[in-house]
Amino acid sequence: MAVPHHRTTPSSREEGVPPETTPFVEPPPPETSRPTVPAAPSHRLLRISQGDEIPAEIHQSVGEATPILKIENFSLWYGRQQVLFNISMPFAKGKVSALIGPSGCGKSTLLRSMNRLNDLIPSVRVSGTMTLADEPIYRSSVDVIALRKRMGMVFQKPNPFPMSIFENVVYPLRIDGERNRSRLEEACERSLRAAALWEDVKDRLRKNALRLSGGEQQRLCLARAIASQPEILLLDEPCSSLDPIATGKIEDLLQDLTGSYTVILVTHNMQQAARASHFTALMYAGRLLEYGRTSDLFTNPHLKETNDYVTGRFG
Amino acid sequence: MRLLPSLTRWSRLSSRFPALDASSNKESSSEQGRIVSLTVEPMRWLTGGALIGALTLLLIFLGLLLWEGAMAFWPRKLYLIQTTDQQAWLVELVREETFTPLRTKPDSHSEGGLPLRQLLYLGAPGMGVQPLRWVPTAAYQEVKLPKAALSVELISGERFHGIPLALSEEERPPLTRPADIIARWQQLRTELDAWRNWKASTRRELSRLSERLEQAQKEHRKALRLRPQDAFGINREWDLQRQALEKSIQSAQQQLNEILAQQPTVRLTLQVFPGPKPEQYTIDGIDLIRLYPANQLSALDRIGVVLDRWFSFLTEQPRAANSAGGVMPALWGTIVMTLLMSVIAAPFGLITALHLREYARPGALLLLVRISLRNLAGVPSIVYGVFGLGFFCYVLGGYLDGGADAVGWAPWPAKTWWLAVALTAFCGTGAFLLGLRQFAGIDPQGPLLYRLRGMLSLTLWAICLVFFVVLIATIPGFQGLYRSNLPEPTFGTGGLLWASITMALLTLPVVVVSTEEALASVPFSLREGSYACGASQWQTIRRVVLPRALPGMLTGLVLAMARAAGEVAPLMLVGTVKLAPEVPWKERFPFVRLEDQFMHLGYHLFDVGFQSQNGELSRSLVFATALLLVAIVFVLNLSAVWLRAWLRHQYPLSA
Ligand SMILES: Nc1ncnc2c1ncn2[C@@H]1O[C@H](COP(=O)(O)OP(=O)(O)OP(=O)(O)O)[C@@H](O)[C@H]1O
Ligand SMILES: [Mg+2]
Repeated sequence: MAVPHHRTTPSSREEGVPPETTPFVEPPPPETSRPTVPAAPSHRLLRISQGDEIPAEIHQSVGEATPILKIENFSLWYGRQQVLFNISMPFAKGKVSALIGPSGCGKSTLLRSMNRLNDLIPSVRVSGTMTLADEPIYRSSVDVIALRKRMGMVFQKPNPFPMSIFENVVYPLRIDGERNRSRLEEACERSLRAAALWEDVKDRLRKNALRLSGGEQQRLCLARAIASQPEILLLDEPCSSLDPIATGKIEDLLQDLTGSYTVILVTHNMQQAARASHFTALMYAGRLLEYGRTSDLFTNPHLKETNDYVTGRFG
Repeated sequence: MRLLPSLTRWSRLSSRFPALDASSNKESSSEQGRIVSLTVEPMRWLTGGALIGALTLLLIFLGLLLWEGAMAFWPRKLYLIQTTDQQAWLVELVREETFTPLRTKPDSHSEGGLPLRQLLYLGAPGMGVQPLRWVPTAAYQEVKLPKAALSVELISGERFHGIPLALSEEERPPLTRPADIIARWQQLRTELDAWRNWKASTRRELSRLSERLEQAQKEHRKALRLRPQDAFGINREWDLQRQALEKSIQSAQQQLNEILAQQPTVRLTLQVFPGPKPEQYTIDGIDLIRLYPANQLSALDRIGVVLDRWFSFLTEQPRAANSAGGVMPALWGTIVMTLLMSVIAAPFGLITALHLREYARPGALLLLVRISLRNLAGVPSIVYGVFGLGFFCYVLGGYLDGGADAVGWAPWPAKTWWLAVALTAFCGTGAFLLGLRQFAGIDPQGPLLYRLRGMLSLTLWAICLVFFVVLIATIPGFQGLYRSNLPEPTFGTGGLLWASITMALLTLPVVVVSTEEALASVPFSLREGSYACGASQWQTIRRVVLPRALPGMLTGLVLAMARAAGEVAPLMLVGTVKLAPEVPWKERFPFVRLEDQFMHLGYHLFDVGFQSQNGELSRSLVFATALLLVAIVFVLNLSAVWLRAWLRHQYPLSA
């Protein structure tokens, strides 16, 4: 069953919007035997919006780094709505990798899949594999709690717990059963300093965390995420409500963490991605578009769409 | 108590409605221009009118209750009335009204309007005199306010009035001046109270000893029945025990006799006015509990009398078939029942809600459970009472009292029973093992298998539970705990335990629903944050969800308590009585006996108000009791509000 090619008319191609289907015509079933010829750049977004499978453009340099987290053919559905499509990508050990892409393209979803936080949503189904240091993440025998303890996460919206600032920060240690007062206090100070919050709150550690301002709350959540010194940090727009100074401090923190920690950073801020990350991946509509060294991606991307996105021409 | 939260609330309110704030009002009036925000809309007046109507009704209700309750123990003035038909009474004025005389004849007294009549509390001792009488004011010849008039209250609940003539004691010259009599009475009162308490405690001791003797006798008979071969030893032991007990009973009796012999002899002679002519009447001081010179009281004295009467009302036993005396047993019963109920309902409600909200898989079954719970919250309370009587009292209580055959079940033979125990244990272990890894996570390979495993686990749990109940009901050889008392029921009738459980059942849906709502109000992002830190589900619930949901949960619980405290209908079936024969607490731990019947304020109110002979007389008691009941509920509700505010202050919802 061949699909007529007249659908991609030149005019609709230029505007980058899918053509209107006539109301009484059934949309064609997805094409399975499509020729693997790389499509012309300008066709990409259009074809993605039609549901076509398009291989991601992954630079050579990505494969050269030692991966710690590998994603292979990963797809995810919320109920019947597919949100991630066949994503395959490695994340380099000890590096900062940025995920960029337009709103709603599935960055948060992908990030939440890495520590299996999507398990909490009953309607979620997944296929494909993810491995953390060559151990599979999605397998029934995996101890999810131990897995999550190896990763720290900062959410898009700050979510401090209804307890004191101190208790918020040491929460990961507390649930590990840590009782030693001095060790808790040490961890608290270290994490708060790293999150550029120590100077602001050191006099009110016993006060309720919900009284902090939005930006302070976000830094508090960052402190909480690094309190137990996890191997991997999943940061979902950690600087979205921070002022430039605090943002700068957080980016410094990311630089300091490089080497021992692996950081996966979702951001809408192109400068931040360019400044703070080693690798950058561009996602679009649940697919990976292009993935490579940050310098390459921003200065000479392989795809025209990437260039358009990082220079702010679409998205 | 910290008032901070409520204060901040007010300030928030006043900032939202500037009109509440006088200062801002003034400011706006000096400003120029028109106010555009408060456009008048007809609906505003309509809704406001409805609100005013509702508030008025509520205010009338509360005002009446407060007024009558406060006036219940107000010492009224005593009037000496001489009527045209040569009767003399020393009376309290209860109330007055106009009336239409039976025969209409030209009446010199009616000045255009209808004649007036007054309800008088005659307050004369003796059997033949009616305590209350309507007398038309036209019949009064002379009305005086005698300064010396006394109002006296007796232990029997009688209350009457008279002019004091003499207070005589042994070894003392009698006092005749009214002022001296009252002054001396103040001293005597404490003495008499002490003596009465002494007598009462000795009496209690005596009755406790004889109870113990009775109990020992029962145990002796039981031992004889169970081990006839040891009859000799048992008998000897029993003899020793009996002798010891009888000895202490004797000494207690002796002490009581001594106390009785030492009874202070005080006599108060009053001139009373039973009608045709004044008489002398002598009261034994022991019967007297309170007297006051009604016409000489200053406002402060009156308040003192009111407080004194309220104190007796709260701390004393009811007397004279509940028409006098205090409500202490009913108050105690209400409080203990409510507390027991909360102790039962709170953990069950909490756990149920926790499972429904946190663990249960959303689906048709969960929906059904939720709908049923909300419906159960609306079932009329008397229905719960019927269930409590039929199931808790008769079935469970009967079983506890007399074993399986007492309620018509056949206990299983021991072998079958032990087999069933083994089976239950097997099911339980299986369910536990199957359920162990149920919540580990999604398994993309075999979700169906996982679900099946979960369902199997659940089914096994259910089987286990059913078996457990059946097993308890069929314990071989269980003859009941109180068989020796049969046919007199111990647990097989209404009592504190069954009443509390019934009320717990009644409030359980309310508690579950409110707890569930409190849990649902905890944002999902908090849970996510906790899980992302590597917390288990239980750690998340305990450390993040519960603290956050606590204000709502506690408020729900206290409101449920308030509801239970005011509930009467089911209690009438499962354990409240008009008059609990004993002091409601015991000297020894645990201070309450669960099988005892008890008194309850709500039922007491019903009894005093509608069952007693002289409605007018107990009127004040009715209102005082009603006020007390409302006060309890009010205090509970207020504490709920305060608790919520306080917890909100501790755990603010947002920055
Ligand atoms: N719980 C959910 N149930 C159903 N659909 C969801 C759920 N969460 C997210 N989605 C959908 O999945 C898609 C991807 O969402 P996601 O949050 O991953 O986007 P994002 O890339 O993080 O966007 P943003 O940059 O705005 O945060 C969106 O279309 C969203 O509507
Ligand atoms: Mg997002």
